[in-house]
Amino acid sequence: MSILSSIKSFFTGQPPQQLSSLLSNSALAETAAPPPAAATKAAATQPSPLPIGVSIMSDSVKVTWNPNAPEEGVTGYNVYQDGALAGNSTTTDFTVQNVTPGIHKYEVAAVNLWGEGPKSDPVSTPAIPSKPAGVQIAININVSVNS
Amino acid sequence: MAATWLFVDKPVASLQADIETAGNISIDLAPDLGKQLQSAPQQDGKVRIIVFGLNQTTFSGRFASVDASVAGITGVVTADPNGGDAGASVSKLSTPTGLRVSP
Repeated sequence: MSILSSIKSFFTGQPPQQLSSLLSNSALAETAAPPPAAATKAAATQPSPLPIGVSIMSDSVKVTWNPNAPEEGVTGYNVYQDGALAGNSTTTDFTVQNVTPGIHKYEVAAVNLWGEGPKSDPVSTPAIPSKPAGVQIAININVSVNS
Repeated sequence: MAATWLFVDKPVASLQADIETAGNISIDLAPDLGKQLQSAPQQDGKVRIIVFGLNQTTFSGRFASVDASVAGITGVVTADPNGGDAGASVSKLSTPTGLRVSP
C-alpha cells in the first residue's frame, strides 16, 4: 500500500481501492471549502453511487382537535383521511403514517358506547410534495503528498 | 357545520326528552325507518321531543340529529313495547371542533 493510499484510507475509513467511488461533482462538492493551495486535484474517475439515502420529507400528518364535553361519554375518536377511516385514538391527536403526496382531507368523529357522532368540518393539508428519488451525497477529498 | 346526534342506549318503543338547544331537531331515518318525531318548544327555552316507533316494535342507538350544539338533556322517559318503563338513557355526541393538521 502506498503512502497516498494510506492517507486516503485514513480520511475515508474505507479501503483505498474504494476511494474513487467518493469522488463526484455533486452539489455538496461544489459548496465545500476550496482545497489548500498546496493541494492538487486527484485524478477523478467516474463516481459510483453511494448507499446513502437522505429523507428530507415527512410522510406523516398529525391531526389534533379539541375534546368533546365530558358528559358525552366519549370513548374514542375516529380519524378519517379522504373519507376513509385512517385510525382511532383515545386522546385528542392522531398521526397518520405513510401519507401519499398530494392534498388530503381529514375529519374526526367522536365515539361513545352507543355509536359514532357527526364528523367534524374537514381540514385539508397543504400539498405534500413527492419525495426526491435517489438522493445521494458524495464527498470529495483531495489529498496530495509532497515527497 | 356543528351538529349533535342523539342516542338511546337500549331498545325502546318510545321516548320523551327535553333538549336544551337553539338548533332544529330532526328524526334520524337510518337505520330505524319506522320512527316519528314530535317536538314542542317549552317556556324554559328547551325543546320537548317525543319519538314513537311506528312500523317496528323498538328502536335503539342513534335516533335524532340536531343542527347545533346541545347544552343538556333532561326529563328522559322511555317506554318498552308493553308501555312499561324501559329505563333507557339518552346520550349525545357533538361534532369535534378545533381540528388542525400539521405535516
